[in-house]
Amino acid sequence: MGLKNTGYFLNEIRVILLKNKMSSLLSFFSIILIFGIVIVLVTSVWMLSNWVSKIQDEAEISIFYDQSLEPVEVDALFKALQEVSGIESVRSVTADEAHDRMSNLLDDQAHVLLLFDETPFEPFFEITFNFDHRETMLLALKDVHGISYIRDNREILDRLADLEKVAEGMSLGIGIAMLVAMFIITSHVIREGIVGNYEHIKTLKLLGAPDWFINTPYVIEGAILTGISALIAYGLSIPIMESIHRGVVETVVFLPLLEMNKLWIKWALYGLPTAFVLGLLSSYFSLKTPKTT
Amino acid sequence: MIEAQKVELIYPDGTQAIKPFDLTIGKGELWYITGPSGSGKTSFLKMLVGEVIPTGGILSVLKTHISETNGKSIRRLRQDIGPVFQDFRVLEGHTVFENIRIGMRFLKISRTEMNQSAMEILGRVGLEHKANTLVDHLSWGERQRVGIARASVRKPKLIVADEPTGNLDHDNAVKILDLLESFVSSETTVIITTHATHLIEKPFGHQLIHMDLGNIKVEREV
Repeated sequence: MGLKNTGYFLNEIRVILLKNKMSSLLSFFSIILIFGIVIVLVTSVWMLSNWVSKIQDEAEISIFYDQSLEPVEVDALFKALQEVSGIESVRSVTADEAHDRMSNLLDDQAHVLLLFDETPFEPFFEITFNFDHRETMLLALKDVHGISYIRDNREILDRLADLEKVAEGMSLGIGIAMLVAMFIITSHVIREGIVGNYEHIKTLKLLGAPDWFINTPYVIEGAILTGISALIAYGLSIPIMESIHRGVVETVVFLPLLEMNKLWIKWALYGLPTAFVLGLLSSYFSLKTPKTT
Repeated sequence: MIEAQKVELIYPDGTQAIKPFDLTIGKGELWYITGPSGSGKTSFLKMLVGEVIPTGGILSVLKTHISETNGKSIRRLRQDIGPVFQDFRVLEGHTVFENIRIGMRFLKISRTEMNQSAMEILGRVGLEHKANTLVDHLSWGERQRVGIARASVRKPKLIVADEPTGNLDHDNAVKILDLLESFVSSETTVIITTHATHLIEKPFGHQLIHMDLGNIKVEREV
């Protein structure tokens, strides 16, 4: 019974939308804008989160040891570090290598190193670790004999983690507010259609039309409105976010390129159907609340 | 077909729209209801289609007790009734053909059957050449023909027309009444309200109710 009415329903949606042309158009643009903001927001947080995670993965800790240790004891310390839970690799860095690194880092200012009578660099161990086990690992290192100093860049890593959390929290709050706004706008458009079509609805009721028949165009209208808006917002967001992504990577050279395609596929698979369902829900909500039907 | 026993209608504000009356209307009859504006004609028709519920008495329409019924059975009852309105209530933005099919779309009939019935009725009301015209482009008289076609295409047991000539000139009004009367058959009863009594000064063939200030008086029974 539903299939034979498809043409009528679509035409009815056209009539409803054209009845409030300007209002429908403005609502349509508002919903595109809302979805656009949500996509940009979520994508930005996704990019930030990925970059933070990559920085954390590549973070290294330098472990300096007592210079009075005998070579055998240094070897023992090396082995002991390998056994600590959370440590993924241990590498020995000689004083000369440390000097060369600093020299590279200073570039044309490297000549200042010549001012030292003795090398200011000490040999140390460089470790990579699992960031999630950082706290327990640092605790375990306290009990390892022979360590004189640990340079763990903890403050920077903590700040990055905090920044990520704040960004996630903010985007969640703003995202929810935006989706609620979208829900309200869609419901408003549907209600406006119902009120504008009051006589039409009344006529259908007097002809004995069941509620599903009367309601269907409005439900489809909401889903189409949000579905198409989300699709347009999605299409517009891709080039914008891709260019922002490239710009950030070119400016901050140590940030790696992210696999944005995976994110776009996820948006298409989950984001667009969600928008469609939200449209259905807001239509349903607007049909249930007023007594005009 | 319609049985009324001591039926009355009092609106929530206390206005007695229809005073208690008894009435029997059978199959295949043509009834005219006349009376001045505000006499209760529209309220009477609204009771027949379950749009308002009588506040007293027993009203049975096509074996449905209006006072004791729920939304579902009112809907079923309305599917057996063809309503015609003074302001036509055609669905703007849709074609003539679509306006006629609308009342059949939610019934369990095939698309072919639906289209066939719509084309037949279009021929009967003389609008087959305008099937694909938007109703927005029709004259008042043509719009009322569409309204009548929509009301009768489902072959209803009862057609109720509320002031169907109210917005039409004399010639069109006569044609519309003739058209409505032509739908009276052994299975179909037609009830028409009008305040234009000069249009129905025919000696035979119909029964007449006169209403005034909520009083229902059967003037002529054939």
